[in-house]
Amino acid sequence: MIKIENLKKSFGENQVLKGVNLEIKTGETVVVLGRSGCGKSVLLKHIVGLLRPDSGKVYVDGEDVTTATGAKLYKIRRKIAMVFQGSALLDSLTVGENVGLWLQEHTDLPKSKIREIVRRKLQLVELEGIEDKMPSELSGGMKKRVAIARALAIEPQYILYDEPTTALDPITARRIDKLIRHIQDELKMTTIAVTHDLVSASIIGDRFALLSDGVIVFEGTPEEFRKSGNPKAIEFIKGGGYE
Amino acid sequence: MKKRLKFAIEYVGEIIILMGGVLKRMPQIIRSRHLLAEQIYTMGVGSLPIIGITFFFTGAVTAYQAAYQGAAYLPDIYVGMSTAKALLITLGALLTGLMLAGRIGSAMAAEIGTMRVTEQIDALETMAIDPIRYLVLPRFVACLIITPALTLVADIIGCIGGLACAVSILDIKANIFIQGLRTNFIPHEFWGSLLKAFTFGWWIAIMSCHHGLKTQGGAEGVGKSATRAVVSSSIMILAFEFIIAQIVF
Repeated sequence: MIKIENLKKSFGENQVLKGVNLEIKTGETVVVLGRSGCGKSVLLKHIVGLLRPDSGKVYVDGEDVTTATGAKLYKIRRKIAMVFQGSALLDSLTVGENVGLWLQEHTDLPKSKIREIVRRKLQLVELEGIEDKMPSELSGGMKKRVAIARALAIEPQYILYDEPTTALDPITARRIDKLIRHIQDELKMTTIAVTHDLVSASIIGDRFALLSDGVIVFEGTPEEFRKSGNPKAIEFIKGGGYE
Repeated sequence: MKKRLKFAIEYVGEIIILMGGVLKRMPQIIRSRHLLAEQIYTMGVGSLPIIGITFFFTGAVTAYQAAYQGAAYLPDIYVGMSTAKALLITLGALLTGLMLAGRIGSAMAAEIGTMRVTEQIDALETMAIDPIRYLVLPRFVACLIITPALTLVADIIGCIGGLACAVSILDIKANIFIQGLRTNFIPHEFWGSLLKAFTFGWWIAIMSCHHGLKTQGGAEGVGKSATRAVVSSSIMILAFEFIIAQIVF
């Protein structure tokens, strides 16, 4: 379980998170919705300890990420995989090396075994046979799927998606959404996705959390979100043309 | 003024922390040996042509200048002697250091800086892969190895350049020139030259990786980091050229 308590974060004068409270139960898929620049990615980066809050706590299975350092932090991170907005594939490595990087660094598995796992993970995201390509040779959608395969190679308990469909065409975006949903249904991992795309959120999420003005202003199922009279939710639905 | 002082203290502190972090992880270089081999090849073998061309002409110019200055009253052997002296005492290590700061220092800062702004370093961290161990350590050790090695190559090619100039332009016999090289060879100066090169490699890696890791913004930030890496490495090289010269020679 991931528990976020009264999380506050400022960058200079700009207070991005003003006291976020959120609980993600094991096995569920929560989509954090919000406008661009509202602090969704900042929230995700606190969960993996890439950012330190000004105040507040983030617990992963009861362990406080905000105070963990060194080996303790790495131990927590081994449970979590993150798919970055820009995919963040290491551009000096091939696709296969990217997907197998965690295994190579943290296990003693022989290369042949790593290659087999990489092949299976790429198969899961429908990208077989591209192990030897460089990230620069891939399209945006393919990079995103390789990033998902890399995350899955860790076999994490938690998977975080930062704007998984940003900068993709609608057809590719829906394909990625369905892939994320499929992975969730198959592997039953606890999933947190942040997005401003309500269509994407509806495909991926079991539960929505709306982040606005640095706090979570709504939590509930997609259905409850649509029917809620919360002015921020209404503004989000109308502004996005999702009525 | 207070702000600048704070910036300077922070800057020095960050450099010291990075050096401490790299030295602490030194035993882990065995684990990163494939990355080290890759860096040695990219930096070392990739720099050979430019070092070779530069030092061939540097040796030739040094020999020509020596002949120009002493032609009227010094024997021909002096040309070989002064070429060896110039290369060993200063030019070999210093020019190699400055050239590597420009060639590999900027590349290291730009590469790590790009990784920083495109979240590749964040991705490493979320995979529980230590960026200092994975990115900085192999580059640091590679620099410590290749800078002295390339300095050695530079000294040899410089002498060959000097010999070529002496024989083809200055009309000095090859055996006279080589006798000059040998006469003035002092092992202590040779080891001093390698010590300088080792130190220059240290600073090139530390300053370049530091600026790469601290990159902010997009392409502009990467460009600034590359420039800062070259400028700060060059300043450290020149400062340590002076300090080591005082101690060794």
